[in-house]
Amino acid sequence: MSNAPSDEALALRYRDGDLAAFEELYRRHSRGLYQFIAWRSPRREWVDEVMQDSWAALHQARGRYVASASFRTFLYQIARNRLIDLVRQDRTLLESELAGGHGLAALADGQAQGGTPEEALDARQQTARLHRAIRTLPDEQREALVLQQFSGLGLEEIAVLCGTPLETVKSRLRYAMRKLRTELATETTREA
Amino acid sequence: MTRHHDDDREFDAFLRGEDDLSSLLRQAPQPEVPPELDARILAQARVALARAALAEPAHAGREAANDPAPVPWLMRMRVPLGLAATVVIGVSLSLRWTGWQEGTPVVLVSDSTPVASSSPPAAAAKPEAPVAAAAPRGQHESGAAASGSAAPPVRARPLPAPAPVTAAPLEEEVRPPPPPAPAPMAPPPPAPMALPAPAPAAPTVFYRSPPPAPAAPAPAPAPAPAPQAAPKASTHVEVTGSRIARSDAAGTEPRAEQWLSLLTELLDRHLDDDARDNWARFRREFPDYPVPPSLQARIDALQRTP
Repeated sequence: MSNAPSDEALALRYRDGDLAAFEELYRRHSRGLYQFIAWRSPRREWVDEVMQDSWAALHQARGRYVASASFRTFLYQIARNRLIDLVRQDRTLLESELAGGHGLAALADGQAQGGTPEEALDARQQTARLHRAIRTLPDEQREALVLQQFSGLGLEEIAVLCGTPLETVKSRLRYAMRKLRTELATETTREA
Repeated sequence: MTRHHDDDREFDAFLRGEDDLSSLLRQAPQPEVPPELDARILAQARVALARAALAEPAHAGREAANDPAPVPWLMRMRVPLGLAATVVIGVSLSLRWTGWQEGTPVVLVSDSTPVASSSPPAAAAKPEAPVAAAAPRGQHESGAAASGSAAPPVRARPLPAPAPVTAAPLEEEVRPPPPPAPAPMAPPPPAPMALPAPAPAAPTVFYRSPPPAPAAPAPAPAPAPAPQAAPKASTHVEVTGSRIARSDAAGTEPRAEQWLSLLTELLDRHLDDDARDNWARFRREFPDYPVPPSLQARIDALQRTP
């Protein structure tokens, strides 16, 4: 059993000015938050900026944090609101851009090479198919999927973050799962 | 029904990350935080926390973003600090002034011409006593002309430079020896102390409110408070700005002469209550000391007036 302090305990220490608590929180959540922002951001160049803004805003808002709320929800809410603000401000965004995750295409190309060249090619193609399939998901389903599968949030946390009932979150995830399966199967069949 | 159950099991496995699709999703390359962004965010937090620590917790008492920003610490403490400073200055000034005991005449000549004050209680021998005692008698009598009475032994030693009131602590008692040929008490330069000096050429006599006529004058403030046990021992206290020099005087006579000259000064300035009080105390200390007839006549006249 781990004796590591909970996020909430760390957040309270951070609220009182404990830098080490902040560093631990950052270590735990920076990766998941970055993935969430990267998948949700319409533009690749916004990702780093939103990431930095979110942690800075967390610092400003840390006095409002109360231990009864999940720290992770609190943090992701800040980033989510920032993204929503950016999207509202930028009226030049294309409908296709709003699907987010456009900067992630390069990830497939830069995927770690392993095994034979044929195996590496297969892996890249599979990643590309997966990314395309995710981008075809409706916005709410994609958000729930990213939060649950990539960022590791629980269903209740997603419900709080998105302001929807728990059953709605489950439903979104169920639809997302089915659609991904279908998309991946279709693409595999098409390529075959 | 079976299909529905299969779907649920499949979905649960997906949520737990145990099916092929979820493992495919989790194995897919994901964007990673650039190290420079990591460093930037951590440095930003470090600076922000340090700044917050300096300016009190910025979040304290702020429940909402539109709450008024907390007043900086210095702004909040401005009034208390001002009051504290006033109290400290006031207390230190009053302590300094209470050192010049009620009824103890303090002759303030100027900063460059030391103020002499007689204080009956004797202090232990001071290192500077020989310096004062060694001063030529002529110096002590030099102020007589200014006061207009018979040779008052007002000790006046011109110093090379006036010492500001708060410049030196009381313990700094090292005084230079008097010059071999001291100038007589010429009109001193304007004293830097903001004290009234009605007659620039004459020693200025300061008294507090009419004293309650104690049996003996209280000890003057000195580095070592003079005990009351030896009232007859002669001690001179020189006050020059913040410097106080005490030394054993040559004997009783100069003190009596000095006291008489001060009485004259008090009469000249029509400080009748002070003169009356000083005369009573003078007589208690020097019951048989001869008093110049002119002064005696003035004192007698004073005693007759209510």
